[in-house]
Amino acid sequence: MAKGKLLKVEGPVIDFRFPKGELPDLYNTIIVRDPELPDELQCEVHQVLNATDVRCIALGPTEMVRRGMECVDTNATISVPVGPGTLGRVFNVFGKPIDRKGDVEAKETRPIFHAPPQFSKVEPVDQVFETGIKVIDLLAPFPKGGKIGLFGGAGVGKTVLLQELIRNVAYVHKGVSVFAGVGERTREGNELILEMEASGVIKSTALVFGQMNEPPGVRMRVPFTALTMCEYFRDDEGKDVLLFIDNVFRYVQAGSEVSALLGRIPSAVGYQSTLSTEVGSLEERILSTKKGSITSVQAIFVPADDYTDPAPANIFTHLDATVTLDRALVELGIYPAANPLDSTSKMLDPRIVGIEHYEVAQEVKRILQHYENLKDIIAILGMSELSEDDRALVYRARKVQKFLSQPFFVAESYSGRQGKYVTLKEAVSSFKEIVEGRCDDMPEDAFYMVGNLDEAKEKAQKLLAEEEEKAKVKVKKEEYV
Amino acid sequence: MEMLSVVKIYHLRKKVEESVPYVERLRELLLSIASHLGTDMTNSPLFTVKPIQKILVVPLTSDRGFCGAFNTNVLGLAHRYINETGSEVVLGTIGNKATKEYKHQGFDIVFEFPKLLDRITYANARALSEQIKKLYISNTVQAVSFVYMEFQSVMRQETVVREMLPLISIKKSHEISLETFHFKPDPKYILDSLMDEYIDLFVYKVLLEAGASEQAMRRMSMHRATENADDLAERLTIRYQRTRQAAITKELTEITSGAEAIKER
Repeated sequence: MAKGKLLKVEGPVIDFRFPKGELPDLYNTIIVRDPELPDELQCEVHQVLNATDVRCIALGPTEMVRRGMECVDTNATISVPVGPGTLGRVFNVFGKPIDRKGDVEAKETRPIFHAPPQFSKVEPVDQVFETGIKVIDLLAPFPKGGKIGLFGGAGVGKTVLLQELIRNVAYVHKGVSVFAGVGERTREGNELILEMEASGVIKSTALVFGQMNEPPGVRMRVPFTALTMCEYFRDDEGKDVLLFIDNVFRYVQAGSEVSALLGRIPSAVGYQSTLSTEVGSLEERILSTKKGSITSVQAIFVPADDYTDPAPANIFTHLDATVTLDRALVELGIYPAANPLDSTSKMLDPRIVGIEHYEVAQEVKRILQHYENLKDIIAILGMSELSEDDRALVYRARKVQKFLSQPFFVAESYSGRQGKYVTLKEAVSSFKEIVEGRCDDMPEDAFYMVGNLDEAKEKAQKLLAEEEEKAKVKVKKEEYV
Repeated sequence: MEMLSVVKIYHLRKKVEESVPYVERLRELLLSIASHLGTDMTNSPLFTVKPIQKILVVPLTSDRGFCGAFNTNVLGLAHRYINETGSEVVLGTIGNKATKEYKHQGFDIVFEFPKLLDRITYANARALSEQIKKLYISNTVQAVSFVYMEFQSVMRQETVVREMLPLISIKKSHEISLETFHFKPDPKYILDSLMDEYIDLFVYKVLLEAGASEQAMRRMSMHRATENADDLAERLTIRYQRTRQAAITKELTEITSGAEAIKER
C-alpha cells in the first residue's frame, strides 16, 4: 500500500505523486483520506504521466480537496461484493449498500475488471428465452444470453415491462435479476425501488445505481459493477440471469466526458475515439456460457432521434432484438405497449423458433400492417366502403391488436386484473387460431387483457351471456308497457 | 388521397362494367331496328342527318388537379380534334378545368357543367343529355362529339373522341332477323323512345368512364407522389443527420485545434 501526495486538482481530474518505483497500476483505486474531507474520496488511475505521477478521475465530489493531501494506493481496482447476499439490496458503484439496511452479507468481493469468458466456454445464442409476455414471445422473441434493445420515451411503461420480466424470471425460471441505473434521474431510481418493494420482486434483484448526480467516472463504471454481480450468478451458481441497463447511452456519454477531461482529442460527433472499444468492453462480457446465461435488456436513448449517431449505431451492432414501446398504443390502453411492427428479433427465424411460430408471427404482422394501411380509408370513408375481405381482415386485426395486450402481475394493483403468464406454445397456438379466422364470431372485447385463448373464449361467452341478459330485460320492459 | 381514389374507382368501375354492355346492346338493337325499318320511318329530329355546319365538342375534365395527365391529355386531344375538323365549333364543358381553358381561349361555350365527375348519377347524366338533345333538335349544332378518357382497366386508359350524333353506320344487312317481330304500338314510337334512352345512356356511360379514368389517373399519380415524398423524406433525414453530426464534429474540431494551438510546448 504505497502512500503518495495529492499534486493537482482540476475538477474531477486529480494528479498524485508517488515515490519512485511505487507507482500504482492503471485502473487501481486510490483513496484520499483527510480529516478535512467529509468522506474518503476514491479515484481511478487513468494515465501515467511520468515515473512518479499518475492522473486519476475522481469517483466522488472533489470539493474541499486540496494539494498535499495524503493518499493511499489500494493496489486493486474497484471490487464489489457478490453472492446471494446482494439480492434485495441497493448499491452504489463501489458495491456499498445505499439502502440503509445494514451491511451486505457476502463472503466474497470481486474486481469489476476482468477478461470476458473464453471462446471455448461461450454458448451460441440459439435458444429462445421465454418471457411469458405474448407480444414479446411471438414477435420479438428474446434470445437466451442475448442483448435486447428497449426503445421508448417517458411514461410508456418501460418500468412496468421491466418489472414484469424480473418477476417472471424469478417465479418461472427461478432466476435472478440485476438492475443497473446508469446516468438517469435519481427520482426514477427511487420510484423503481419503491415499486419493486411494493410488488415484491426486489427479493430476487440486486440494484446498482450511478445516476445523473454522480461524476462521469462513476457513471462509466456502474454497468461493470452490476455485470460483476451477474457473472457470479452465472458462473458460480449456473443461473440464468437477467441484466437491465437503463440507460446504456449514458455509459457512452460518461466515457466521452472522461475522455474530454483527460484532454484526449475527440473523434466524430464529439465522441471519444475509443467509442467502439468501450462499448465492446461492456457488451462482450454479457454472454451465455455453458453454465448459465446473462440476458440483458438495455434501454437506449437515441440523441435527436438520429439512429445513425455513432453511439446508438455502435450499440445496435451488439443487439439481437429490439422492442419499441409506442405511445399510440398506450393511448389505446394496450399494455404492454410494444409496437408489433417495429419490434424485431434475430430469433424470429424458422430454423430457431420453428416454422409454425415463424409463420404465425409473419401473418400477425401482415394483418396488422394491412390494417394500418386501411386506417386512412376507414377514417375518411368509414367501414362500409371496404370490400368484404378487407372488412373481415380489419375485424381480425383489431382482435389481434387487443389480444397483444396482457395483464401483468406487477400491475395487479393498478389494473385490478390478475396477472397472466402465457407460455410460448400457448401464445403461438392462440394467435394461430385468430389469424386463421377461427375466432371471427367472438366479440372483440373478449380479447382485451386476457392470457391465453381459452380465457378469451371464456370471456367471450360471458360477454355474450351478458348481452343476452340485456336483451331479455328489454323484452320484459316492452311487455309491461 | 391514393387510398380515397382506390375506393372511388372500386365503385365507379363496378358501374362501368355494369352499364357498358347494356349500352352496347342497346346501340346494336337500335341500329338493327333502324336499318331494318329505314330511318325515314321516323320523323324524330334525332335521326335527321343535316349538313354539318357547327359541331358541339364536349370535353370531360376534372374539377381538381392532382390527377396526372388526365386533363392535359383530354384537352390536348380536344385541341387537335377542333383544329382538324373543318366546321365551326362550339363547346360544352364538363369540369372546371375545361371551362377555364376554353374561356381563356375565347371559345363559344354553350353550356358548362362543373363538378359533374364527382357525382355521377343517372339524373345528372339526363340533365346533360337533355341539354345536348335540345341543341341538336333546335339545329344549333349538327353534330355532337365527346372527348374523354376511356376506361379500359385500372392501369390502362385511353383518350378518345366519340362522335355521338348524328347516328351513323346504319348498315343494311343484319344477322338479327326482325321479320318475325311485331312492333306495338308502332315501330316509330319504339324507335323514338329507344333513341331517346340510348342518348341518355350513352352520356351516362361516357361520364362513368371519364370518372373512373380520372380516379385511376389520380390513384397512380398520388401513388407516385407518395413514393417520391417518402424517398425524399428518407434522403432528407439522412442528410439532416449527416449535417447535424458534421456540425458537431466541426465545432469540436475548432475547439480542440484552438486548445491544442495555445497549449504550452
